[in-house]
Amino acid sequence: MSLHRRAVLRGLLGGAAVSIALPLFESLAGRKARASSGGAPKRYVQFFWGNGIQPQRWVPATEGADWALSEQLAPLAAVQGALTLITGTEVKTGNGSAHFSGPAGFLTGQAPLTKPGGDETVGGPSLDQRIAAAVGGDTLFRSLEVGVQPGVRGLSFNGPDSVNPAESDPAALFERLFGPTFRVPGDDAPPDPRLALRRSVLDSVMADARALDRRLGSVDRARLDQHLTAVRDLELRVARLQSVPVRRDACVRPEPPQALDPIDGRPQMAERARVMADLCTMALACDQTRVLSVWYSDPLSDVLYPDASAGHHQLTHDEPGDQPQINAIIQGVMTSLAYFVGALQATREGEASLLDSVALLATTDVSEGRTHQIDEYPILLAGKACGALRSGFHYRSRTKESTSHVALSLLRALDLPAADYGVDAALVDTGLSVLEP
Amino acid sequence: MRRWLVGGALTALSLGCGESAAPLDTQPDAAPAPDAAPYFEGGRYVLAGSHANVVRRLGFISLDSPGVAKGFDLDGRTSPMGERESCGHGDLTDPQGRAGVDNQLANIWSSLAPLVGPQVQALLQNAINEGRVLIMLELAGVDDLKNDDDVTLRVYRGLLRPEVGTRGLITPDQTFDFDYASPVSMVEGARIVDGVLEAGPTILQIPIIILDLDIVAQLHFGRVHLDIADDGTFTGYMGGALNVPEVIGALLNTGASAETRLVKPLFENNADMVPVDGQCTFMSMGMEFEATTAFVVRDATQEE
Amino acid sequence: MRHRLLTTLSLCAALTACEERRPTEQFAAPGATPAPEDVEPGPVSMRRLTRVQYQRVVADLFGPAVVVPPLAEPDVAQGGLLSVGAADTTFSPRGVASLEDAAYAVAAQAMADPEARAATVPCRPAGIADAACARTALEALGLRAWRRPLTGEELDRLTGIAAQSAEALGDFFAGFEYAIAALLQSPHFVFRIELGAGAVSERRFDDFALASRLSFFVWNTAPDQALLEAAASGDLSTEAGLRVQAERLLASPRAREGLGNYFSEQLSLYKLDALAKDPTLFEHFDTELGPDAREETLRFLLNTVFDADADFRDVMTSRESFLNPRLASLYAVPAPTLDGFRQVALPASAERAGLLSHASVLNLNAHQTSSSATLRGKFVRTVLLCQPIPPPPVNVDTSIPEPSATARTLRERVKVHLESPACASCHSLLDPIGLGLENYDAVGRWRDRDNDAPIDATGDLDGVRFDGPIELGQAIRDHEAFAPCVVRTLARYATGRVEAPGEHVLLDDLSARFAALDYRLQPLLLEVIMSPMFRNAGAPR
Repeated sequence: MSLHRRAVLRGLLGGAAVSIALPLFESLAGRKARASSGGAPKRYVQFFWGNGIQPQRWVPATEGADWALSEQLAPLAAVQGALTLITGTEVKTGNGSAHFSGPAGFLTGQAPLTKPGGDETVGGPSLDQRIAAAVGGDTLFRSLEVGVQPGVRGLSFNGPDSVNPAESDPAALFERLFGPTFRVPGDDAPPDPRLALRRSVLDSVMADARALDRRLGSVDRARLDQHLTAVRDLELRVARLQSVPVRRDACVRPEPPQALDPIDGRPQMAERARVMADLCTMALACDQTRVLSVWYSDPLSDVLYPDASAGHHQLTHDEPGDQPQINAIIQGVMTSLAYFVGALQATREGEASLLDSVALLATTDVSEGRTHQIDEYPILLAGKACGALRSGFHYRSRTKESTSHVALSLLRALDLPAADYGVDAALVDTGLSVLEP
Repeated sequence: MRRWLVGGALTALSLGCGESAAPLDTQPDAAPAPDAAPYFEGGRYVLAGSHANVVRRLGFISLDSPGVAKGFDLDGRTSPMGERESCGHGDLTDPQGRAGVDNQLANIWSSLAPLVGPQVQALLQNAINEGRVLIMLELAGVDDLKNDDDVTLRVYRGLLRPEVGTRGLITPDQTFDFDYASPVSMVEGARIVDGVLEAGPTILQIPIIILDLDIVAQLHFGRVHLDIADDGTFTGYMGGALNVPEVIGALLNTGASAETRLVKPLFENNADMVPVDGQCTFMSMGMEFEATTAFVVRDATQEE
Repeated sequence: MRHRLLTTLSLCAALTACEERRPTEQFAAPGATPAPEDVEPGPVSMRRLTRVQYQRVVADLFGPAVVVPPLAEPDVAQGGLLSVGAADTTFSPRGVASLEDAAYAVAAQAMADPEARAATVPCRPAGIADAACARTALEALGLRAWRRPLTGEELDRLTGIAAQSAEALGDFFAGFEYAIAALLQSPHFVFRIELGAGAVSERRFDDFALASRLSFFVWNTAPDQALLEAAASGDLSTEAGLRVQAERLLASPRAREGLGNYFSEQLSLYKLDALAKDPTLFEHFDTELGPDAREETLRFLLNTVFDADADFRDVMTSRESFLNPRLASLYAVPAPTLDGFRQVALPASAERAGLLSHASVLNLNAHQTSSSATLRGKFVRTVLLCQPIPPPPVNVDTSIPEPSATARTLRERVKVHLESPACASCHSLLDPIGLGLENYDAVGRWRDRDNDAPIDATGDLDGVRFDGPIELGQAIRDHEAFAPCVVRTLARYATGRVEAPGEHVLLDDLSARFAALDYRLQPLLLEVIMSPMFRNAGAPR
């Protein structure tokens, strides 16, 4: 394969760029056909915040299609019609690791893995990466991980010890998405010849990895394989940069974001969330990726919010009474989520809105922050995934159903042929029936 | 217990130079001091048994209410309104009810403050924060900061480009150099009673460097009032009388001559002390301040 | 004060969890102890370069003119050490993209700067695609970059990239950039492949692997030319040869950087760059405080090890430190210089002695708005005494009451931790230590009162009473677990892994040597290098 490319190099740089690049593009186009026949591809969007909610203010009193928003969900009033709230589910993988058992159990289907030194990691890939492995092959970025809190890491895992760190610097994200490599859809200028040279280099790197593989033990071989996959991804992305971007109605290059410095030492969380939401919406509209995760804050996040007397995590444990500051913080997160969902809804793609093709999951790492419990797990969905998800109601599980059912429904909504989800106590082979048409 | 000072291994150099220096402060049960190089280099040292503060906020005293303002009785008399000795100006009463307070500037400032108060305040604060106006208040020979019969108060200028903290003020416990090129005001035998010190009369020499001004304001009949907190910080006020013709004359020679011409009649009309040929030549004034703990480093090589 | 109902399970779990970790933990399991040479070494792993190592190696390769962009891939700690976590991590797709960006940025600068270019490509290319010149340059560069000689096939491939790129772009050096980029993105560069040679039973490291281990441990960067030559001539496979090189590296000023990195990882000093405290509560706090605090602690520790060559345990009690004006004002002592750092001896009445009074430790182990007895106690237990503390049980109300008229100080407010049996089993090990440090607030400033109530800093550390931070420091210095913990953490850092079960006997051996050396760390470094733990290779993981 590498030989073919090296021979192609000469031809490429001789000026016959477009015609030789085409065969590669066509093989990609074949895969595009797997996307929904409605024209818009399906997208998976995940929104995560740390330190949970307050069940007494989160769970609405009414259920079904005519449900009324609860106090902590009130900021989402403008987009309520597109929301689906699931309450009463439980993560079934045990709760041995505060703040980590919940998301590990829900998003990877298994309990966290403990390593010899005492540290913990996940046992397998997270939901977003499983979906990315299936649908991410057609876009410039297999998946995109974006952060709001400065320095947030996120929980997008390829496997044990392999996290995809979130980009929380708006300027850097803009540079990556809409910087010099961004090609406005329809732009048919010949590609940069240096792209082919980059691919040649990446070929060499992959050859190095394959040669190394034989000398390693099994654990290291798995790690090297991940590296190899990542390099291959990059190579595919460079290849895509050589092809002509498809026309997309809503895709325009946005303005670079303004700097958002902390005020009085406190990060401007709401403003950062808005900037990131706008960039992400445009990235989806330009079909730069179909798997996006937005990490508003990490589990155990101790960020100092504008009017708070202590860090977020410290407040969940130290604020007395019914914790009004915590309530204000959670409502702030929901306000940011409302903005994001609203932006997706407002973006038109043909006859429909971008949100219609999205399956959005908003969740957190525990239910009540103070006690770290993982029953009454907060799950909020938005979007219809091109009709593959039913939406617009509050479903309350009376039997503490496993969160795995929701995960399986999401996988299926994105057309993954998943027979089951989760391991041990979290293993299920059916989705949540109310979600499936 | 927190406050301590190092004389260092420079006892030999500093003895005989007019100030006394103490060796390293040790307690009987402490670990033996390691063999380290001297704390300071050259002839630098900190005066033992002294507590210094740096003024980090300074303002002109205003009237609390008509006829009431902080200040001191500078001329030993309680002058009613219209008295010839004070050129018609009556004394004020301080907030604690003591009569005879001479502080004519308080009257003027109360009218001027609404117009130019914030600007003057900002100028002063900038000057302090940038290290141009660093007034050091030092108590030496102190056995007990709350009650002491005999301490020496010195007021002088410090040198440093200070760190300004998150409150917009100089942070506590910074180390300032003693400015040997500036005059020192001293009051010996002052007393601290229950954390309050009142010292004077003396001539207080206050360096003022604002905009183009670089003068030393002399406050005659000067007095200082300090409230000493448990953490060693001082708040308080100082007062004295400005020699109006001298000050005006000096200011007219600076870049502030235009502004000086404006305030000249104001000062002359409000002068209330030392009448000469029926015209009072000194004007009483007071400034209040907030200070914070500081260290002052002297240099034995600059002392004779 | 409210308590939630606790489940019996969590109660029992919590009780047993902390009791298992009583301070009498020994390293070696009871039973027969094999001779050091017969101990089965732990498995070897390839380790990813940490972000700091990436920068240092690239800086070594191309000189100071090249600005190295930071990698987007974060480091991960294992057992508190990034260098051990490096054995578990790999590159994410974003990390690989960042690696590519960095590689091209470095290559472009290297070819643009005349000195760097001349050093990298010493020959004059005879034309656009001079394969011979490229090959010579790549052979030398590759040896330094991949820490071993390149094979013929690898050289062929890289030379081919250089030649083709040169032809495509019409310039030798522009083309050579792509070969550099290929070198810098290769797993042979970004991972440390330190494998065994020969049969697994021989337990022998490949000579170049040993050179790499030695150099990264002592200098935190790739081997220099002299070390690579020693590896090539087989010197490192003899004990004498290894010792010669180890002593050379330890004697160099670069050893300070290497050991500085160790302390930075052990004490999490790298987190000081992102230190955040509430500026409305602490007027001394600004963005320079964290970096200055790190500088003080590093200078202090490196001075103890290299310049004073003193008993390392004294870092807990020493009255010396390195202060600049900002730290001096934070500590309420006169500033020894007008700017910059100076070593000073703090007198007894300064109330500061040893590591526990450093702004670095005090800031990192506190909250943004307040001090924390639990975090500071946890630091002492896990980092200084190597006693792991399990996480709190879930489904427990962990709130402590706000300050009130009846409970003003933190000591009074955390009483709830010590009154409830489920909480006390672990918190009785943590809180008393941290409460002994309560005179230092969240930014490390001394205070006599908390909420206008006097602070009581008395306590008990495993049977030794103390009153205040100075005595607490002494109690830790004299604690039986302190010196062995120094040894164990250093060994983990040096070998890049948690010790295998059988290797505890080697740690005990090193601890005995440490004591015999009067607890001086500098000679201990050599002992660690010469130990079978460092020199012997286990099976590939």
